[in-house]
Amino acid sequence: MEATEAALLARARAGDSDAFGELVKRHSRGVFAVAFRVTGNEHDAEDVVQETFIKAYRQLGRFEERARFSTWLTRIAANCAVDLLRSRSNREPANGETEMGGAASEACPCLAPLPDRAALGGEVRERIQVAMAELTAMERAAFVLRHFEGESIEVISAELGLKASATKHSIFRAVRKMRAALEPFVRPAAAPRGSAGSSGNRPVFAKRADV
Amino acid sequence: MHHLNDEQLILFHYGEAPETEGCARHLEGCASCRRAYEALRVVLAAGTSWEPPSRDALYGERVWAQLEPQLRALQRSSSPKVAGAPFDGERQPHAGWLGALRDLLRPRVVVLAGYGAALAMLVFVLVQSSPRPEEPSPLTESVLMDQARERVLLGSLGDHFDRSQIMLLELANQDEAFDASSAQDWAQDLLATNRLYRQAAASDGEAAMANVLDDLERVLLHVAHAPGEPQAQPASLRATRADAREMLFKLRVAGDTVRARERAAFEMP
Repeated sequence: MEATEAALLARARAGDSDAFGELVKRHSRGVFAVAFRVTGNEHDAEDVVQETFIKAYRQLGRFEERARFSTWLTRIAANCAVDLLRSRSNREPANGETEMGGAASEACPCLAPLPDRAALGGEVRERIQVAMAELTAMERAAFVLRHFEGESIEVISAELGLKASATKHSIFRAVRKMRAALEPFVRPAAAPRGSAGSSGNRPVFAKRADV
Repeated sequence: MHHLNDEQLILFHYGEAPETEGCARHLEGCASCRRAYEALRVVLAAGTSWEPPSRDALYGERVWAQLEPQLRALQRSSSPKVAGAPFDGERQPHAGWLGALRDLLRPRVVVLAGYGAALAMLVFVLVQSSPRPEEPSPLTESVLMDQARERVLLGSLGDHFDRSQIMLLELANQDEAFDASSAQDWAQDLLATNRLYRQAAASDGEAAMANVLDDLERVLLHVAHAPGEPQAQPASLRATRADAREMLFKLRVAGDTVRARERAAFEMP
């Protein structure tokens, strides 16, 4: 029978490395997803996954049992990713490789468009990555935690050491970048009631003169 | 209520608007804001489709396999008494003289030897800095300890570069029938120590050294995660070899720098 997460945590805290290993195996993919979205490339994401679990191992005693272990790991991963990107921010990109997107899509198979996933198209995903690349590490982390992980602005601010206003600003900036990148590709399927024909060919997020 | 601006719409979307009910009521009655909100919602939904590259069911196993030696190293460095007890697994000996050399240079052996050397060096330095006719000030003692620490670290880092060079040299010169699993094991071992050195270099503000170690880590990761049957992946093998050759040059330069600094550290008063 599979051990419950609480039981594994208790054993891991008591020094049982097998129990910690089991937790690593269960949560690696989730941590990788967060790490990839913040860093934008697989290599850095793998680095962040390792760092996250090392930090978690060291700080296991500080984990509050009321919280979800996955949420705790997510926050550690976001912070590790920010630290990693910041530590590299003064480095010259190697071989024209950008931190996210751009030439990196050639170097990293994960960023290349996949022909079998044409629903939104590889182009959309590449555009998102390019848009995200224009954000600071902190802005990306704040957006990923809010948009993908569903964390509240209050919690994100506490985790990333930001003021609430700065967290909001980060999210606004990320959303603006995202919509600028995606507006040629996605439009509402049908305008909601009373709006027929009013938008014409105007980009969906064109500046609103009526606001 | 005035029209909702972009920021209000974004906060409303995430359920963080200060006046959620007021926003909802306004959207009910305002076609313009409703259109804007719908457009925002569609873009954010498209953004949600940004999926990370998939990881198979065994990904967690691989992460743990890579992590475990690092946690062992952490445990060893924080608690030398327990070093080796529960974590030291048996390894198959490598064949031939190169295998023997490799075993001799095996990171765990060298790490332990490094600890011994470090201890001996610290004792030596402490003896050298023990009370003289002129008692050294606490500041002098602190400087001496820093120097000793630097010498030990530089020596250990130089050894790490040497071991990495041997591994990469062997990899760069292998034919397509070589035993990939052996190289992977070796790379895994080097990865664990490399990560510690990189973190130490970064935290000490040694940006150039941290960068070299970071580059080395990428190559080691590449080798450690290379496909098990290189014959089936000749392109991947060629790329790994090319990385190894490129890294060898950087390692030689970095190794020379470290050794020069080590010599200079020993010449310091």
